[in-house]
Amino acid sequence: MSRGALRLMQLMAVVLGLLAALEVLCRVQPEGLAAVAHRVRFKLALLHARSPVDFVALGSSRSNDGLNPALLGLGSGFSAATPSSSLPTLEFFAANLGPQRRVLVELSGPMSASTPMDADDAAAPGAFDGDPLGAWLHAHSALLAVRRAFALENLPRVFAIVFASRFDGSEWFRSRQLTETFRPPVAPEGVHDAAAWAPAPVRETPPATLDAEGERVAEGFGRAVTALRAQGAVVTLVAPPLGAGWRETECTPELKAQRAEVARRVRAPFLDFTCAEVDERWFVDGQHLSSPGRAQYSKVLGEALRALP
Amino acid sequence: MLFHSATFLISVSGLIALYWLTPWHRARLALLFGASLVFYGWRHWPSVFLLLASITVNYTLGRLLERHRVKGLLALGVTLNLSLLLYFKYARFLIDQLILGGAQLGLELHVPRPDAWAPLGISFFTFQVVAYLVDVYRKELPAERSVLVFAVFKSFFAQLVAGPIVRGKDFLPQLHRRLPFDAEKLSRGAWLVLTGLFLKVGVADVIGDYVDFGWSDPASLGINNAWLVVYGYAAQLLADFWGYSTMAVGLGLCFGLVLPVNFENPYGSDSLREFWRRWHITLSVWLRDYLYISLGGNRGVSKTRAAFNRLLTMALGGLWHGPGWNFILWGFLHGVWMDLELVTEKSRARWPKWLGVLITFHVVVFLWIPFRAPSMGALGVLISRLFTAPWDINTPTQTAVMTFGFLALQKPLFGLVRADRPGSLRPWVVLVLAALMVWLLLAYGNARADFIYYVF
Repeated sequence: MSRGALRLMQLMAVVLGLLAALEVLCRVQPEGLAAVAHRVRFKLALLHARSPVDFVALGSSRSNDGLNPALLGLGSGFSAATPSSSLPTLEFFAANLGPQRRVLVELSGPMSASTPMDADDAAAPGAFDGDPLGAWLHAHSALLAVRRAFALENLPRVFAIVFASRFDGSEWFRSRQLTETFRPPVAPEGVHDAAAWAPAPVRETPPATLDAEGERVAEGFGRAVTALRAQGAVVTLVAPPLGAGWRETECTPELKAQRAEVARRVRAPFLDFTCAEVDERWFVDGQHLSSPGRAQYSKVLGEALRALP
Repeated sequence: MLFHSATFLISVSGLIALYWLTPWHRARLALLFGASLVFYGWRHWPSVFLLLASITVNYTLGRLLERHRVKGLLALGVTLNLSLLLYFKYARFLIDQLILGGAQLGLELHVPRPDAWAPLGISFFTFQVVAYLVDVYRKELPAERSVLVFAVFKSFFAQLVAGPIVRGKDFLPQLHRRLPFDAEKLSRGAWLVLTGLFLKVGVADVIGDYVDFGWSDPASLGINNAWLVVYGYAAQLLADFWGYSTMAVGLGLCFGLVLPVNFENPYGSDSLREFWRRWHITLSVWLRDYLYISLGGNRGVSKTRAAFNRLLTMALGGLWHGPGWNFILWGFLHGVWMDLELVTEKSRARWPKWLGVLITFHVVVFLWIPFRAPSMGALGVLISRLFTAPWDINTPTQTAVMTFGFLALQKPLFGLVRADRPGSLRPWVVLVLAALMVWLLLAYGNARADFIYYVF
């Protein structure tokens, strides 16, 4: 065999061999690799890999950034909140969480969105126009379904699942994690907003009619809460606080009424901090709480939860 | 068919096998021609008829030019080809400008806008065939006698849509002889296809996601992210077009055919003139040989005339990229800077090379802004964000790392992808890099769109 032919064979063997080996690996270990590849499946796998907990928090990046389970004072907890969550994500969690004692469910704008679950490499519309073999491979390859498992930044998830008892889920996917590691933020000075850190007062509201969007949200939360209760969980709805800019969007009378109606229909207590006029300096970007904000919110939320009947 | 689609890559693998298993030369050429038509017409089959008509007409014109060396015949051929380009690519733009100009004068013009589709790669194959006709006229190249050879020269899928702009005197002789199977060439070709694919899908498209996002709403960008969009586009455009060109050269080698290299570390240039000798080399050479020199070049003319020739060549080179004032502005500004470089040549000669590279790089990067701008309004907004916007705490780390890593590692990266230096890498290094690229393509690859130069 000539030197050129040998090089060609070697190159083809490496490329095709690697692809074939990874495809086989992904067919043998589809669940494990899916847990490494996708944030939602990862948090679920982490929860299942550790010992039972007293409560689980479900929500978007707002809860993921804002809630430290250890500071709630409700026993051992786990944060399964993930960025880019939506109503389909919540329903997926609710269906797969397993038996739990208590579940905190975030009721907010992001969690009401209809965006498809961020748990699969769904192809963008039109991604395979004119590429029938690409579409076929996307549909049939186990490797392509979990390919993000091989991203370098996702590899630590393998160790997390192996040593799951050391984690409570809140260590992952925080917005400013890297920055805060190198430059821990300090609590803002001169902030006098202690009185603002309170959920909206609970009032008995009469049944209200919702528009089509509100009905979709209410039905989705209804299905999720029913599924959680069917597995033995006590459900509490929560909504983290927001900076002034975001309050303008989500603290409108219409959305307040919609959240109250959703809580009424699912018959769950609702600790709504959406309209709490807390200082902007607790946030990194007006929406996500910084480390001091996270400690503050977790403490206040814990007190409010313990005060529930 | 897109080079980075699975359908293309799998089909072309089969085609390569079939090509080398075919013992007859003419059958191989027919196979290449047939496959080129299928790949070209895959997304828009009517374009195939235009291509076939262009092949027939230009083959005939070439033969006629050889027999009757008449300037009028050459003018007819050039006009015919440029008219097609003008109609398909620029007619709407010109009519829009006419209507706008009329409106300025208070005239309400009702000129019908042609409902023309722009055939893929029309700018590239028009320039290729114009060069062929001129070369035949200048007696630098005999007119091709075989229709099949000419058809493959004009339509070879590896270079049809976005170059490299192949010259007849380089390419036609390769199509005349039956090539023996060369595993070394095939191995180098496969390596280049893989590296080109990585540059496109693993680098350009990943960075391009954020660049597109930034340009979709420049007013929302913080100062840091506005600069990231600017540098990101410089990285995206190079990775995209260099990736395409590398795949094209690699695909050519898989069939035993050598296509010209189109990039040679352009961001390492210490002047814009050098940049154009390293960026889209085949277009630069075309503009020099068939436009700049035809205008008079810089020999035997006054300095003012030479400067004008440069400005005009660069502005037309800008216009070649697309029907828009932003492209003309971009080309014109390149011409202005090149003239400035000539004026300051003596003082610049005393500067250290790194300073020249740094300045040239930033001039190029800054001039990509009008090139990429979707509108003059967006251009103004982005430029103002570069200097007046507040800092945005949410910086896309992956895009930033990839952009600045890619730009900083240009020299070693070009060393790895050299097509004309076979065996410059140890075999085990090639294998390790190949495995790494496959790994990274799988983990990070983001095949999102056409190659940027497909629309030019």
